[in-house]
Amino acid sequence: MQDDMHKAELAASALTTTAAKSHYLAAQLISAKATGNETTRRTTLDELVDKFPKFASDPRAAFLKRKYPPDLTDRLVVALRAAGLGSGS
Amino acid sequence: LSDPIQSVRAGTGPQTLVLLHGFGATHAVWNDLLPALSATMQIIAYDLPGHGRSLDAAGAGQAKTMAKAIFEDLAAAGLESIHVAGHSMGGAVAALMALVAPERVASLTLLAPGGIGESINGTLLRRYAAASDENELKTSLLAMSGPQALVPQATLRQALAMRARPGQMERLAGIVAMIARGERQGVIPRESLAALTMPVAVLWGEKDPVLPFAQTADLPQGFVVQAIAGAGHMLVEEAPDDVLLAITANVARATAIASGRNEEKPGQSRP
Repeated sequence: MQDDMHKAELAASALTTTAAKSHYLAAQLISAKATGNETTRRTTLDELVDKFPKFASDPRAAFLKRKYPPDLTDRLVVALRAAGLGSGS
Repeated sequence: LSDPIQSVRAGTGPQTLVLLHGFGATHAVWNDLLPALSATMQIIAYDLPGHGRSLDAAGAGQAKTMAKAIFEDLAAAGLESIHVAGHSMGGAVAALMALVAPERVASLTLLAPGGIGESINGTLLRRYAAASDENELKTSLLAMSGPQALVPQATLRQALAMRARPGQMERLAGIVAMIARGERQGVIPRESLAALTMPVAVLWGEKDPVLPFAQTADLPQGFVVQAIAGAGHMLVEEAPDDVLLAITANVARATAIASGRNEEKPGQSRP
């Protein structure tokens, strides 16, 4: 019932689409913090700050621009801050 | 005797996230999201009964039977507590899983889920079910998407590969006849949804032509509802980043509540 053979295909597929996006990295950062994966948290945080400095400095503005609901925006900003992203909001 | 339900697994971690696709798709719909999700969690993406490699699994088109099959598979793997996210028909199955065994579902993320309101565009779904070549599929998928949407080539390839399986087209026709009979679908009572205690997030495209966005109108107050401007029904393809963040935020919220790091209760999430 499992098929680990798909992993490579999945990774290759993602690299061509969403991997470069700030939201993708933000999601991975939040998840890394929530699940206590410190290595992934650190590397994802570095990548997010390096590739998306505008987003990293003010994620709230990015979420509001996408018309996220205020309560979800608050929750995401808090989660990102807890994961180590700067408090630019 | 029916076949067992099939899944693809990726990642490891203390949390397990179950992903359930919509009608006419397979686990492959999640491909672009899996690397980010599986970096920190164990992911189990099912082919729902009647779809792809679960073509002959029991319960095709029957949400309760599908939920039961998934729980049995999870129990066999020793997984007692899981997070669940589902799109459309998969959303209805996810919601039923949460209703049937709330103690086993730590968080619930619903993407334009079935079973929330009576109205369903059966005409569009039947057209999608019958589409067997690239042009028909593309036209159907565009009709189910928002006005600015494009159909990713990977989506077309996956859909064509799925439909090439012997018996798949007939099975899709049978399922759509069950889930959209008379342009109406079965509805989960609001009071049942309101009784859910785990964090629930709902994403819905404002231009959804299959399940109207208006079905979000009277969802329970504790649900975090996010409208996706300009999006139609195919949220995983149309708004992958929003879907990814919504799932992740909901899992993080549930994890924080469970560990006592967050005093918020799900029912307090909306003013």
